[in-house]
Amino acid sequence: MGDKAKLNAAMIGVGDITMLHYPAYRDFPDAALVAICDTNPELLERRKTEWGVSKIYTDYHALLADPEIDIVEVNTPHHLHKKIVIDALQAGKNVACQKPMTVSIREAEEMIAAEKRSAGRLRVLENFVFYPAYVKARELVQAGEIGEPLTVRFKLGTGLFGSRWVPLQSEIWHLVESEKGMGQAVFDDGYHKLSQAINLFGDIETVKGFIDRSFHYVDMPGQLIWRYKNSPVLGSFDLSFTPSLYARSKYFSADERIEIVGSRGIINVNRCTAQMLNEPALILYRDGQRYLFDDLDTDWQASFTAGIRDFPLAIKGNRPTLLSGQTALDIIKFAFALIAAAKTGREMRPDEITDESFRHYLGLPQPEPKS
Amino acid sequence: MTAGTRRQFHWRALRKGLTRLMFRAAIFGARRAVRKSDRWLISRLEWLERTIRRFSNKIDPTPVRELKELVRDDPQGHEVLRKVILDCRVEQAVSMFSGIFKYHVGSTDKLDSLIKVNGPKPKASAASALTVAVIGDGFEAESMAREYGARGCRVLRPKNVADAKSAVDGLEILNGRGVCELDVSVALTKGIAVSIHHAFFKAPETWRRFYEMADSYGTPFRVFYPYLYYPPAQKVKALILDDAIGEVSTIRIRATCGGRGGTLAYAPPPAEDYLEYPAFDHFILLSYLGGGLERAGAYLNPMDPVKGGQGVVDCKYLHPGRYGLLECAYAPQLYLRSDFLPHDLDVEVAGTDGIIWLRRGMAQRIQAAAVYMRVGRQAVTFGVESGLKDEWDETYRQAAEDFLARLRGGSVLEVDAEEIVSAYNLKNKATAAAQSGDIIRL
Repeated sequence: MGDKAKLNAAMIGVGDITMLHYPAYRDFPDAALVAICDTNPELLERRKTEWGVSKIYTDYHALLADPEIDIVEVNTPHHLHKKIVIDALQAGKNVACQKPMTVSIREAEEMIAAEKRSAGRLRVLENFVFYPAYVKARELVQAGEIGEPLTVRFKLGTGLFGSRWVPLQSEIWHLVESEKGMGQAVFDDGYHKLSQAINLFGDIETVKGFIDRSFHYVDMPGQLIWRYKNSPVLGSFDLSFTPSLYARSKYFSADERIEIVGSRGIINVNRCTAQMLNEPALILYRDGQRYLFDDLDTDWQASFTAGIRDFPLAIKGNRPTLLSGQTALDIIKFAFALIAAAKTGREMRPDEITDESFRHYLGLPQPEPKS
Repeated sequence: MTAGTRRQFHWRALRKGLTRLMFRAAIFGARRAVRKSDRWLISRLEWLERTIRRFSNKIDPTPVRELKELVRDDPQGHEVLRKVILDCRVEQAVSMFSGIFKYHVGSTDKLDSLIKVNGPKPKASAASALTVAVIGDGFEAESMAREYGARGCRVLRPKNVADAKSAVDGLEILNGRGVCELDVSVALTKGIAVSIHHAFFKAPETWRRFYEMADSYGTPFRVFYPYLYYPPAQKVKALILDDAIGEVSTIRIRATCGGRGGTLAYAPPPAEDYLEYPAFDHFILLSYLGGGLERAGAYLNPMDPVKGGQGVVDCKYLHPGRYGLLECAYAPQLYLRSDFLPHDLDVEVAGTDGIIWLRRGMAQRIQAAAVYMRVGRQAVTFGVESGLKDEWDETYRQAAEDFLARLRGGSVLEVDAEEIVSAYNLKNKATAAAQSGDIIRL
């Protein structure tokens, strides 16, 4: 498969988020989008016309039976990921699953186990680690431009103004998930920041902090802190409730920033999904000077394009994917640990968290054992 | 303040009060409404949608239409709506809707008016000759002695309180080994005004006793923490009090100790127990900006003279929905230009309507305006263009003015004694919080 000049990709689920996936396949010599599948026939027809895709399916099993397809993107709501991902891996496909991988540790482990039995590979797409300003910031850290890294801070602020109106109906299921601990700020959207946190300095040892609730469902404001396993860097995640703050975006109006302090310099990534400051997306401070990176692609789409293209390139180049199933599981455990720590006021170790302990800490009923 | 600007301030305050009252009533109305039948609710939402379409081309009726459809077609969605309205914290909701009205729909608050929002201007009422004993050495003692002298005071530089005899009106205790708690207590009982550097005593109970004693004897007393008198920090506090960013949800202070760029010699932070170290001891600023503190957690790594080091202190305020973070970093190779020490401070305060940044302190890492605010759709800087003095020297001028105003009975910087005690409580327990692993109650 890696010898093919152009890999054939397909999408299962063509909802809103795939509008950001599709452009990655345009003018891309290494993979083409050839098939799509969705249970909504109207949406399927619309996407077929918009994207010029030849094959459409309403049953994903039929799509998986197509021998021409090399890569399957699973873009359904996250509670539906497990079965489709495992079926796709059993069919020998390479699977790119949209983040979050799933809503339970056990399901994530089952998906990783399925990959081991399969000829295909599994990756979980999280686009923020491909955002050009972040990629450059990470390069600067690794090149020693700020000396020994000391602290890293992630900032997330909500915003109701500056982007398109998101229909209430599509927000409802997110809000309902919040009652099960999978809030938007820490688990869903937060997944991106936690992914970057791990991508920067490795595995997490312990976490603690606070998460509040606004309007019953919104899991912010909050202040979370953590310690890394193999780095002295200390991390923090600052969740501010700023609904009236305008942040301009074609996508979502979110104030997202990263600050990395080192023994010799400081790096600021000033935006991702939206623009809130009149500053370049990346600033490096060192030796009394500020270095402004005005030449980076700042559009959020760039992170999707690079992220989606990375998978076919990894397959063709026979190199590891940046976001493996194991990495996705680590991110889920990190999120669960943060949520449990905030709920209990106790320090948590992501390594030790399980579905049962998570539900126990949150006071949620344990699922009935299957007979 | 002129009569015109005073009238403007009164009008703003009145308008703000009325807006909040209106939204409070609207929230209570919405709570009653969601308890009514679906049919009743749908008919009211239909009326609201029609009214918006008829009378306003500025307001988009889409959210109202979608709400109506939610109530009509989706029982789960309807339940979500009920919970949002019934379980919201009224103060937070009022703040959010007032902010939306103020900065988006009504655009009632022009940022020009906020330029006039200032911190306290200490002013002594009479120019009678006073004697102030400045105890301690180092640049802060020199600066304070110079500022008192420049204001016509007789300045004594005794080694300890006993040497000051009884001929002084005020004691400015900055550092020195010859001062104990009893000296301060005796001075307060004798009616001698006392100002003590924040690093001098560690126990919160000591500070509480001083405040209580000063109160019962009617003797002026203050804690001397430089940032309380730094005009840009006062500006940030004034903006918060003026409700410029709505209800504050997070406060983050990054305190960085650089290794190069200062003009004064200093000892690097100790490997352990460094929360007392001047570059990192900003617990009073945390409580000054956010109020009393309730719980805390921390991670404190050792400070290495070559590789540097780091610590983070996470806290929950007594105010509902408010959290703080103090991030301490020792960066030995970091250049921070400063006329004093290379100690950088960066403060970010986020509220429902926006964010305020204090972008410098003793060091000047960046030469942009000291205070920047993004609120609603707007942005404003407070620097040279608004007359804000951001030189660190100004801190000592303001501090001297404040202490003399206390002696002479003028207006002074009001700081809540309980908040100061709360800050010491946090500082004292942060190390224990780091060692215990768990979040601790203060």
